[in-house]
Amino acid sequence: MKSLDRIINSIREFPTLPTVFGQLSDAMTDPDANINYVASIIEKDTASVSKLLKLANSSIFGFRNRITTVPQAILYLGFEEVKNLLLSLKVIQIFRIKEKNIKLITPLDFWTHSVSTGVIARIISASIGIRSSEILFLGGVMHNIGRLLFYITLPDEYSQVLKVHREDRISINDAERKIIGISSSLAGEMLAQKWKLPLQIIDIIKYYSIGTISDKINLNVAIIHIADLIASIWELGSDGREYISAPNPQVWENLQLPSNFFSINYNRIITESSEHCNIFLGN
Amino acid sequence: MKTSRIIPIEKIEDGMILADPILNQFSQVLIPAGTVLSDFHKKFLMRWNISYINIYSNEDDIDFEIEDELIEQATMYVLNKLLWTPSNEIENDIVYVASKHFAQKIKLSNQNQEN
Repeated sequence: MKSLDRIINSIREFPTLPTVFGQLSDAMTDPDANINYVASIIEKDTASVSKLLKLANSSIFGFRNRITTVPQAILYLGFEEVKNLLLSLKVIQIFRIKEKNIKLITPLDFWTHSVSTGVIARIISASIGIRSSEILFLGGVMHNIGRLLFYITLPDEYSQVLKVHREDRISINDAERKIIGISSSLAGEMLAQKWKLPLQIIDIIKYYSIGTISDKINLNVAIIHIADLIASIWELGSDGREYISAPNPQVWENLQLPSNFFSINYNRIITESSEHCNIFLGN
Repeated sequence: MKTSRIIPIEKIEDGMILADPILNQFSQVLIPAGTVLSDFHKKFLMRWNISYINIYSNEDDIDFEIEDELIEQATMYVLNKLLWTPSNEIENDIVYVASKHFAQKIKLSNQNQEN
């Protein structure tokens, strides 16, 4: 069976996102919804609640252990933030069930890379002053799901991809197109569409490796492009890449970050990434 | 949590950021956490007889001492991973930070091997 067909079948067989997200989205867009009602939906998933509260109390938000209930988390962080954090937790959970099938990479390495990308993206967006930075953390966590799908569904082909990437020193996306025929970005886009993820997330998954959308500026895509670059160069986890491609120069123009941005934020990036990884990937 | 450290108020410098709020005896906030401190605050605190405050540590230094050879080794390692040559200030900064990051790891793993 052709690789593309296997990818499509695999996506078809992937579980759908739990109905709780449909319920949450509806509840959150209902103008009459109140915090307690939304909280009651979330509280049905006890496994996610404790991680949600740990995240709410993490240094990235600065609430310092004051958040002890789900209604408080919604009150302090807002609906969007809570929904996106839960979604990140759920997606990781769904993939971790298939963990045993992954041989070429450890899931811990993979998710550390993704969570770190999310943290870095959030830190960049805070500096630029973007208001909807909640979507960027989620974008970071999700940006690479296509590659994970390849690891799960096409391990033999991906082993070849990694070999060609390492031996020929070509970008991993080029190696994917050469051996499999499509890049992981496209596979990721298909899975994201199945899950009806927000369009901003789908755009991030599809275009993060390029950095722009048809040469037009898109801040979310640009930020994830850079965040992914940093996480890869600094080896905060790994998605299998050994060699890292040049950033798109247009992205530097679009973001206008100060040239010492990463020196200044190094400690913060390392601390907040570890903290988040411990919560997301710990027990 | 963000790293913070306690300093005597004599050491307050402009730009330091207060990590914990300063409270009076009624637990009312005199100076909120997050305030960027200046000389004014220093005088204020002295008048209130406060001796120590908690500030956020400076984030701009990766403050450890590492031998030049380790940094060179780490820089070569980083440059070898890149499929391009850094060509602007921010790219150079990213490589610089990466080199210190890896140099520290090499140093720590050398120390662990010795123990």
